[in-house]
Amino acid sequence: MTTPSTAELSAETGSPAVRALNLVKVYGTGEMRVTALTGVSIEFPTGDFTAIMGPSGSGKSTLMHCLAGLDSITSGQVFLGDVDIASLNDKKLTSLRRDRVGFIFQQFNLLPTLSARENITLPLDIAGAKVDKAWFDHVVDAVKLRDRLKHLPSELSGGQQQRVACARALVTRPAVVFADEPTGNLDSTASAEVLGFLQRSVREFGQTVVMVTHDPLAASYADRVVFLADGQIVDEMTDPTPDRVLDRMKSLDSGMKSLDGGH
Amino acid sequence: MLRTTLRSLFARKFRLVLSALAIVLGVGFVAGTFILTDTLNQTFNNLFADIDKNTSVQVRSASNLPNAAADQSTGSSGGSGRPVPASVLDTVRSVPGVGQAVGTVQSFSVLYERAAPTTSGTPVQPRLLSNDNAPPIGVAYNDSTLSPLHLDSGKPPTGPADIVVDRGTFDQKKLRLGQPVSVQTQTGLHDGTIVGTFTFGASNNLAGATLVAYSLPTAQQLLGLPGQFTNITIAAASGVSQEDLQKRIAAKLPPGLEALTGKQIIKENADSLAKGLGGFSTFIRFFGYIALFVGAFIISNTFSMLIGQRVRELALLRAIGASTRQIRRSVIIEALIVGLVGSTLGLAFGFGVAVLLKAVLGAVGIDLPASGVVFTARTAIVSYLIGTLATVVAAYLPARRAAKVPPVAAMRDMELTPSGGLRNRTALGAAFLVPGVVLILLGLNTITGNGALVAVGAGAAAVFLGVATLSPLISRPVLHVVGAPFAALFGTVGNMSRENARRSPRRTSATAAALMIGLALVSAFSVFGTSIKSSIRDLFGESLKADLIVQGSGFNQQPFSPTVAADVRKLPDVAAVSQLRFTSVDIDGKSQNVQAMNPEGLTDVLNLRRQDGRLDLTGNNMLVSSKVLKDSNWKVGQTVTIRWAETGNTSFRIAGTYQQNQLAGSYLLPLSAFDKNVSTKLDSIVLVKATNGSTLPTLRASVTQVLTPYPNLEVRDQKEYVAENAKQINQILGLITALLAFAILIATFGIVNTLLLSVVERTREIGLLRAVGLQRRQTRVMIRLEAIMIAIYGGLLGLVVGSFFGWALVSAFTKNAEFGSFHYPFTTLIVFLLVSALLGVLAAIIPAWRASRTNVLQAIAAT
Repeated sequence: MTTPSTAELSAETGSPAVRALNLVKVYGTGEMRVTALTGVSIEFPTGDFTAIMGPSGSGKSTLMHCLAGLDSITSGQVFLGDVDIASLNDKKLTSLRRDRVGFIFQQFNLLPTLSARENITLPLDIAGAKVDKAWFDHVVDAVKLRDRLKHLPSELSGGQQQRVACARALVTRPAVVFADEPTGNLDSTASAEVLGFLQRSVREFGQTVVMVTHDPLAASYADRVVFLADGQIVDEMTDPTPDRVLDRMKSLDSGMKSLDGGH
Repeated sequence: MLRTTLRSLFARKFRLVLSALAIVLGVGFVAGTFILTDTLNQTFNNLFADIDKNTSVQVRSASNLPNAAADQSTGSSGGSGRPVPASVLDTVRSVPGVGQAVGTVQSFSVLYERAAPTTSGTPVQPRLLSNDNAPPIGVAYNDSTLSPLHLDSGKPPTGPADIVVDRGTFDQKKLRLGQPVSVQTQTGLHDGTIVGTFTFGASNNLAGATLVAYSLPTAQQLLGLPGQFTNITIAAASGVSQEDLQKRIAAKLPPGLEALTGKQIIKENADSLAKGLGGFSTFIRFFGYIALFVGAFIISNTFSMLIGQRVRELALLRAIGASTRQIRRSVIIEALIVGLVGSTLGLAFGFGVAVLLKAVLGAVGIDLPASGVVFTARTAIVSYLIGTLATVVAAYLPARRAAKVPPVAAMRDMELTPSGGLRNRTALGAAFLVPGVVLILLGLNTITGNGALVAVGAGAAAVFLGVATLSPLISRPVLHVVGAPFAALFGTVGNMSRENARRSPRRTSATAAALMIGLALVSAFSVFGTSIKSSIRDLFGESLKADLIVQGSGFNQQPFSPTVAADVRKLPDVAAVSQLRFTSVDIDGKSQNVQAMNPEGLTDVLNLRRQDGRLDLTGNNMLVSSKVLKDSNWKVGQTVTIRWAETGNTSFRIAGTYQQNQLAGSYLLPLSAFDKNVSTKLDSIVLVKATNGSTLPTLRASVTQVLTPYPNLEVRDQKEYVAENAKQINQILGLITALLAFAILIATFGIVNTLLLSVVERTREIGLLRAVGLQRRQTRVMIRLEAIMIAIYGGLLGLVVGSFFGWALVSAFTKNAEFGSFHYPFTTLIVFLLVSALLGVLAAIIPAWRASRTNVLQAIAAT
């Protein structure tokens, strides 16, 4: 971990951290066939904080899972840096997730048997990689967990647990951090802490963050908001504020309803 | 409620199949042994009924001993073994109502091929034709309907060299009519020719034993019964009942003889054989009970885990109004169904076991006539009873816990808190452990007879329950240490495995406890066996002075003709030869095994250390071990009365005592006493001591040469003799270990079960790990290491408990036998631990595969 992070490398070459091209995702076959993503093309610039929003069923989680290599894609391409992840086998894909992607889930982010410190360094430990002490300290201080490192997850509050997850996502200096409703289970104070930290990781460390959320307030922390409806990107907003996001979402919802009515 | 029970049962069928497998194996064992016993009993009842179908009454000499044991060495059962004078036949024939009466002759007779003399003159060892794992029997041929022998080829024996053999041996050894053979009988070696073959009753021979038949005069002469019969069989004239005829004949018999009805004889024969085989089957059944006991642990654990996973469901049932009783009953019914299904399959498996065991008997020389498998109601009832009972008892505690789930748990994510605190657990564990240890020690040292067996068995079960109860208290620290090398070697993956193994002490302990039982028993027998073997090495060497030991070949080491000793005695290299014979007598009203030896050269062949008096075995003297003297409150010089089966009471004077000696046994009598009081004059062991001028190789060469005509013998030096005894212990240990392997196999299923359930419970964790980059291979390693740790933990518990059992066995044995010392088989026990680890690896195969296939998205999405 003495080499520059992928984020830094990507910043030099100017290429996006993550890129999707005509991404299609279909679940099931025959009558059960559901098209979740209908040809999504999108770029996530390095060092950018993007929020993906959309009504339930819009395909925002599916998009994130496909971008993160957690789910297979039906057609199209997904590039993580220069790597076409559809071409990777499970072993290589797992290594890619481990070394170049950070994850923050809505809940159940931590292993109950491991301490906060062990949870944070888990991806490095799995890889058998050395922990960059200075970076680790930096991240731990940023999430304000210095005095909680020896605690088990069950001894931490929900907000603290999510901060541990944030630290784990960042400790490998990943090319991109994917956050799936990271504040979905938190109260407003804890939410603000976690979102503030994600924002700072982008501003201060040049981290690329992609966050799925349905909360306009959370989305307002991002540099850019991408709106998804019916498996397609329908809009994009830079420098979002909660009010603007909320308005856009309302129109999307009514759009969905009118679409439903049109059947 | 019943429908809910059935639904949940089917929803979890795979896990229940795994736990039912434990019941299937256990019940199968028990059922199999019952089926085997019943089949054998019927087989022999039929066989003996057929043999004696025309016998109305049999006359023989009566035994002076109550409950006289059948004399296996001559193949005769019941009676004293003393011959009946030929004149009695005339007496019997004069009794009104006797249709036909035949004198039978039966004794030891080994058959072998007569070797063609070689041109060089060096003798060639003839080929042994008799089955040396069964008593070799020679009889007088007669063609009356009273004889079970039916000539089926050739001609009946008439001349002194005519021999007819059983069809089974004839076919198996590929013999031919006119073939020159020799026989070895009590009177020595005799040459003859095969002139015919016969079947025996409905089969080819008597359960694998080789039968040869001679003409009556030849039989009487060769078998050492001139002018005498072994017994007289009588067929009644028509219209006379067996009982009437028996009474009439008994009234005419001289003293010392008895008359029995054909029915009594058939029953006696069948009982005596069935008793021997029944012992074998009881021995095997014991392992079935162990397997069931182990199975109960697994079932209890499985039910606990399943209930743990169903907390919400149970709470919901409670919330909508199911009573605690209904919940408890639903779990018990679930167990009942599993038990019934398991028992049914177990019964089917038992058939297989019975067939297999029959094959095992055949392999050790007990050939059984083909017959259908006997399946009695008793077998079914016992199988269902124990199988269902074991399951229901095992499920009782989990059922109670299930019933305690509060309705509010339906609304919350709640784990079942273990009932009872630390102190309760300690107290309960101690309540099992302490009485268990006491029972074992009492059973081994104080209680006698069957009670001892029950005490030791119950004690061992209590110790197992106690350790299993206490185990959750120590599992976390012990697993921390056990897991340390794995954590060091495999880093985070190893550490996660260790923490997973440690996280639910009750589950890990219950899983490990099942393995503990098997390993404890295996290691206990290993400790015991090793100690005995080491002691044999030390003590047989010390007991013996003889250079060579001659014994019968074959598994049972059948006795042999006394001409062997006579032939060896003639050799110039030989300084002393001693013949050893054994029999049962009554002393002070108690049955004792006594041993006869030649007085001459006694202290040359045995390293007999004198304690008191003189080691003089001449005349009416006897020698006893100092322990016997002390235990019987006897004094040197006093007279002791010995009651013989054939001749009644005889007095002997205790001339001296010796310190415990492995070959001298407890009571030593002069050979002449046996000659007077025991008709069977066969030696079991012959000890040979070389002259000072001779060397072991020369002595061995000359003894081997003179014994060439005896292919049923083995000549061993001291070292080989000790090794042979050690080998026999190894064989027994091997058999026990093989039988315990079933219990260990069941325990391994238990590990599979626990891990599968754990993997299911930890789906989200595994999904998370896979998401953040744990490779499939690493996932498998993680599960595998957890299995290994649990298995090693179980193995360690087993070794500790087994070492105690072993120690208790050895110390009790040492106290009783006045020999032996504790030897700890470190290497073997380490091997056991490695085997445990290997079982862990095997048990982890399916769960690890399953874990590595966890669908990451579904795992994360699951809430």
